Amino acid sequence: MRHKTLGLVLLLAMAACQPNYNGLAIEPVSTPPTSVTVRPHLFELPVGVAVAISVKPRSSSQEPYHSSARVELVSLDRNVFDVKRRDDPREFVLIGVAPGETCVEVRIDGVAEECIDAVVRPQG
Amino acid sequence: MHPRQRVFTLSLGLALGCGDAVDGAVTPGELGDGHFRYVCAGNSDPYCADGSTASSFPQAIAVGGRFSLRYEPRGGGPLPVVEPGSRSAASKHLDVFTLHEPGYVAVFAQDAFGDVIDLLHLNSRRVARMTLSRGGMEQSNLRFAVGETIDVAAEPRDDYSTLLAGSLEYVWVSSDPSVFVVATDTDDDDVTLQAIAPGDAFLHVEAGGFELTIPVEVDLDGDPTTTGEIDTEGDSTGDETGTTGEESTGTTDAESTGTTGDTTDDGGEG
Repeated sequence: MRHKTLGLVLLLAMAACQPNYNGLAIEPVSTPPTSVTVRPHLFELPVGVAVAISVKPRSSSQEPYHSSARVELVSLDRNVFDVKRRDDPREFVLIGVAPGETCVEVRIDGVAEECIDAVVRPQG
Repeated sequence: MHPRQRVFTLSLGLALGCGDAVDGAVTPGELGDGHFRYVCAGNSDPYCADGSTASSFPQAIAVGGRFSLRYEPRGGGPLPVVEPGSRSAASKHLDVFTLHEPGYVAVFAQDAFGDVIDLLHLNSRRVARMTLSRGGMEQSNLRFAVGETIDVAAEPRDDYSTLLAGSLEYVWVSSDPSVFVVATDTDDDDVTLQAIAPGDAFLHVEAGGFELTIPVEVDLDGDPTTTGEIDTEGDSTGDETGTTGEESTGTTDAESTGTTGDTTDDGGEG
């Protein structure tokens, strides 16, 4: 019984030392010519318009994500919404390809953490 | 280095430096890593008077107009490819771009791995009106003499009269070839007209889904107030402007009715 309790305590202690995904901090690094929405849980762009963003994974535990943590943004429907990489691994370019809705999967070190809603609306 | 080589190198450097200083056909990318250069494709782009060198980077490009883009990274290095961000908003075939819808269209400069180095939004507009110029002067009607040839050019514009870049397919038609004929290539934005016999007719020019009709009068003596020489004469310019205005009063009403209709339709679509 004592061994089991000790194991549980160790497990909890280890979990506390791991970052716990709590969304992305997103910052636009370009200024599109028309209004766009770039929020932690929603991307909304007019068709044909692009915005470059810088992202940082947030952790709800005491342990923040290390700067080497690999962040990937993957659109589940690239015919509607696409995400391009930049040279900086924490920067991406979002582009509205065609009117519609999909979501963008956030992967941290290869693990899917969430899917951000992505909406592409017609211009005008 | 031999003094002559040094002079040559210095001259080349100065020439390139001056070229950069006066080069207006580039615009900085939105991520600040270099410049996008506008290059005309085809021979009917109003931004290129001669060849493929544009006079400036266009404010707006006609829907359906053809053009090319290059990207010049700051500090040199390998030239990235420029690709449209959305295939539904723009397409690229053999380095020639075409914009499909009015609005903003992002293009990307991408490296060999597909990473975006820089981006730019192009402003795409429908042709909402067209102007016809002769010797650089806008004309609402044409008058010339039997046997005379004149050069005219069409300029596609948007709702705000902004000149639209991009090579469009032009169709020029004389309503009565016994009065005057279109004497040169008819898919270009500028053509030569040749007067055949006295009479009244119309010149139709169509491009980008817009059609312009201009009344043409051919007479035996021509109209001395609209000859090319007058464009360069300061004193005569006022006379010519006045004369042209008076002469075009009747025809401008008829034209503007058609133009307004088309403009409204295009604006509604846009």
